[in-house]
Amino acid sequence: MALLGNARISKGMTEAMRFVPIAVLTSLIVPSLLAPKGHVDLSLTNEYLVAGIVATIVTYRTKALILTIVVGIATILAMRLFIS
Amino acid sequence: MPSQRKASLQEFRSGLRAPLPLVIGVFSFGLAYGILAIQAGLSFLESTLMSLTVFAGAAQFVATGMLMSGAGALPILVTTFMINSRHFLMSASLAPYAHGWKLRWKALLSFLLADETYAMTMSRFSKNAPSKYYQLGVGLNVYAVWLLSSIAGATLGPFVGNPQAWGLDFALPATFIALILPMLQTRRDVLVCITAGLLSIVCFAWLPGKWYVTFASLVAIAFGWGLVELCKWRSSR
Repeated sequence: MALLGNARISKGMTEAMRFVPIAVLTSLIVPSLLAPKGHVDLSLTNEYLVAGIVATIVTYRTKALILTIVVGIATILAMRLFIS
Repeated sequence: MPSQRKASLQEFRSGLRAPLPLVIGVFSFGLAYGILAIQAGLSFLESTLMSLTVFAGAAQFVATGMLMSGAGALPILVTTFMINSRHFLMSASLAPYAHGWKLRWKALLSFLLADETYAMTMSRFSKNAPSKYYQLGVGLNVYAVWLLSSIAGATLGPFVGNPQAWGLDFALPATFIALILPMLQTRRDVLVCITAGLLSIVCFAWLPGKWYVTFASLVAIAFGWGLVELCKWRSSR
């Protein structure tokens, strides 16, 4: 609040602020989804990758946070159960 | 007037009962948060205090995740601010119903405001007369469930030896996905997102520690900012 009230911050910076959470949140989770075990795994046996895709679809359709989490975790459990 | 007090009490009771269908959802979310916070290294006290004073699930998840990844204070503040910015809108839309309420009521109810509280209250107020007691009931219910479940989670935390085995560690990326998607409103937002994603995986392989987060974010933000400036420059020619 104190920062935004300061008119000396250029308008460009304020506009760029909207990118901060997008960039930070994305770069925080992408590696954990694409390389959960340390090395990049883009195959469909990567349960985090698949769960990530499923979660994205669920969010897109329902916009429900808790449902996204539940379905995502269920996807991971299901995959581990059936693929091993 | 006794009948007025009775009506207020009834409203309060209705409010208390209203979020019951949502309780399971809120509880599991709080539980997951408590477990996550402990796993992230927060003490039981720290995690509980966070739920007590912040009372904003998504923000708490994100802040905890960012702390785990060693993000600095400023990016955490900015991100939390942005995530909770929807509260501005919720409060603004509730304001007309709060006409004439004393300041301390407004302050308390604002603190207790949560997505679920907002949903229930707006739905109720569209059909019945607005009542601060109703909102208080809803707010207290959700707050209590949130607090209790995150305490339960924090208690269980040290014992849930391997949350990864149960896929619980996916709660964090799932939350982030659910938060990021609505943020992608313009094509530029999507581009920034894709840039950050691509860069982060590349840097993950090449940079030590958690530097990939900062580096990928900064470049993606700069890229987005560059696009904005480019657009302005073009339109001013």
